[in-house]
Amino acid sequence: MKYQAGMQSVRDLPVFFRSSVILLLGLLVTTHCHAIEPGNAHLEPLRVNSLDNLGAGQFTVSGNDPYLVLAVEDQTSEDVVARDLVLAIKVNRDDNDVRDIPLEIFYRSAPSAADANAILFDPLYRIQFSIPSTSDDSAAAEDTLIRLPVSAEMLPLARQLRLDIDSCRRCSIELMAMPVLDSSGPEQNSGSQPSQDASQLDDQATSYQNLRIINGARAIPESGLDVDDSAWTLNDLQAIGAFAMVSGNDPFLVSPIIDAAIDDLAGLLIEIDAPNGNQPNFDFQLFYATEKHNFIESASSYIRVGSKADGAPLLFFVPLGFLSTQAPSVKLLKRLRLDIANPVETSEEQIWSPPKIALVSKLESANYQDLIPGQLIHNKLQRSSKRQLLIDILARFGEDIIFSIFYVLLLAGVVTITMRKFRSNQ
Amino acid sequence: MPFFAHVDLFSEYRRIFYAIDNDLILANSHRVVTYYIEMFFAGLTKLLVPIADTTFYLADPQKSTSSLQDYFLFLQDPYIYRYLFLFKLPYLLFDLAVAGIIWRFVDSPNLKRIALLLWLFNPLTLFATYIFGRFEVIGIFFLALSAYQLKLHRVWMASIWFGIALHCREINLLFTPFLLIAIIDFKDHFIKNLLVVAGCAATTGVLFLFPDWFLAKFGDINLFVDPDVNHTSGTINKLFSLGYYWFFPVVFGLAALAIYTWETGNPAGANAGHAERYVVAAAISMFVYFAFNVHSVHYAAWLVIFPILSIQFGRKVVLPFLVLFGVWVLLWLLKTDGGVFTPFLAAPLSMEFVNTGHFPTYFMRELATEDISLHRSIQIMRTLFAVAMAFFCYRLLKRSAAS
Repeated sequence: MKYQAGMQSVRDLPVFFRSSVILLLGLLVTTHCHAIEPGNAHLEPLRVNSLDNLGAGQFTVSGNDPYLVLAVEDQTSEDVVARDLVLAIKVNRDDNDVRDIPLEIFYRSAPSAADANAILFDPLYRIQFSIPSTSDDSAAAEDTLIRLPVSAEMLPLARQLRLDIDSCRRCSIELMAMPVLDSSGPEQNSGSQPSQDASQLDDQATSYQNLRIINGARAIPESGLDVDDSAWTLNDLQAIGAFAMVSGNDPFLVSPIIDAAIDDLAGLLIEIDAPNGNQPNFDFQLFYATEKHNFIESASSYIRVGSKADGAPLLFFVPLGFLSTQAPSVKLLKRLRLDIANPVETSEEQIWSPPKIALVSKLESANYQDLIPGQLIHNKLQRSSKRQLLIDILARFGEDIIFSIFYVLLLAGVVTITMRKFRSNQ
Repeated sequence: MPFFAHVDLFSEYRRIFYAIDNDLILANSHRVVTYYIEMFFAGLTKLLVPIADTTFYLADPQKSTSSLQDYFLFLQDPYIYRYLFLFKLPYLLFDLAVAGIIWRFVDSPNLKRIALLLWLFNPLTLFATYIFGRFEVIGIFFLALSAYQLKLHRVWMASIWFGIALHCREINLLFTPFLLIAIIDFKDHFIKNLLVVAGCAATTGVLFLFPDWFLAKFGDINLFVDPDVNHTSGTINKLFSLGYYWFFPVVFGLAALAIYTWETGNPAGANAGHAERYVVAAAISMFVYFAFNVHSVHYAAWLVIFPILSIQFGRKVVLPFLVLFGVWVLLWLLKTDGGVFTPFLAAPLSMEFVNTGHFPTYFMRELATEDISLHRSIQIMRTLFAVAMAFFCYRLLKRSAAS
């Protein structure tokens, strides 16, 4: 009865009003048809993963690891040095989602025909940034145009890009135009030096947070590379001037971004002022974030060093050469985290200095072998196997060569005596 | 010897070094003979290895079982092979000493070679001693020595060595009734037998109780004892309230064995000597125990010595041994965990051997079916293990004409 009453009430509306509704509906249909007209058909990515392609450059996240692979068009002339990568997209989020949306752009040169379907992008060449959280539509409007500086080193590579949308299962993307290289950006942001410092880009990228351009990795010079010791992040440690006092149960320090190439890395030389007290030894756990993982237990080293009677700083060398020599190898050392694993108690005696850490190159590693702690465990993802495993085992024998020689002679003696006895009995 | 170990070996010597470094040598009455033998070799180790202060650091002696973290730190020590060699050196010496006793115990030249080969190359004691790194062979030596003394009719010496063996492993207490019954000589007068058995029992008893009394008087025997773990009364209550399914069958089995030990000494019957009755009863008692308990892989080392000594008395044990070895390997391949019958024990060679997987994983992935699951396969192998031991018992109980 209610339904019939409702229909009757619609019929009773004035003709003018009904006509207006029909016109509005017609307008909506027209607008919608315009959106999917053939003119937008060029907004087709080369590849889509975990995204539902709704057409007309619109995609919604449908699974883990959502990304788009897009071709990049260079609209500049060859004599232009400074260029920007311009990507016109709009990221729509759930109304209730006020978090930053982390995005990541990998880039590479156009693959050959044989590799056209390859999906691998080098993790050493990428741009990370976040679209900031917002509570109104104004910031969302800015999101529609992403302009990122491209250095000279990046330029030959930036022919294809992969856009990853991380940690946002309810997002959708609207691709407004295909990405292009454009010369309209400020020149000072492009140059021959790789951009390692996000702060250089702040003026031009105010819309983005955590902007970080990884343009390859810093090579470790033969003399080593010092980690900036002025910007460690503390956890459960209270800064007191240049020192830090343990203030909780999980004290650790996180280094600033390092982004060093692991190929030449032999290990880390660590110097740290330990608390004076009766503690006989200090345990540390060193985590290293690489391009494949952040700080995880299975990629860490556990170190136990004895305290110094004279109060001298603890100095030790943590060999990490296996990161590049064993499989699966990694390429980029992103950051370090040093946990104080056995703080005796939260007390004023537990005062530490921020560590001084130097990345030691393989060419110099022989000078630091004596500083390797006797008690050191590598919880590692890498494994040596077959020939390398055999070499490593033999190398261990060499660590105590006196005993190894004694043991071989002992075995040879026992075998010789046994053989002689056996022959004499025959 | 220097290339394999289990975390238990490190725990054992960490306690020893703690006692030495803190002058607490009178502070432990647990397996005290093994403890002092290992203490001697730990002292030798201190002379031959530059030990870092942190290597055997033990923060809380009441929680002395090593964590894997501490064990792995120990394995990274540059002198790890030297440590393992010296730690196992007493086991090697006692292993060779057991071989010497076997050589003397068995009279026949051919049989003593067989006995020696079975001892030196059996996988049970080789694994327990040199791969796992446990001290079982020390207790086995004193048990073998007590059997040898019985063979020589030196019952007092036998009871002394047996009393010492009790301080090597608690399980040796199981053999006490068989030793005392085997000491009885039916040809002697009742009073003499009573005096001898009472004297031997008193000797063994005093030796058994002496360390507790002595160390309690002059030291503090609670070292390495966790006060939070108190299972004495609970365990006994559980034993007698059928909390352990194996308890009463084991009691019945051992009671039957005691009757056997008595009966075979009768001059009108088998007329077996002290040593024969002791050796055969002790051998079978272990099989009775293991028919219901398959706890730690290295405990199987206890099974070996008495059956080998029984060769002297004409028991044909080579075939049962071969069957037992094979079944034991198969059982523990299936029943193992990540840290026992796996490459984990080769971690001193390379930490790469840790977490390399084990046979049960392979079995579940490649071989198991709905009907033959891993659990069912373990049950089948346990049954076969029991069958192998039953076969062994049959061979041990069957006296040949020669004996």
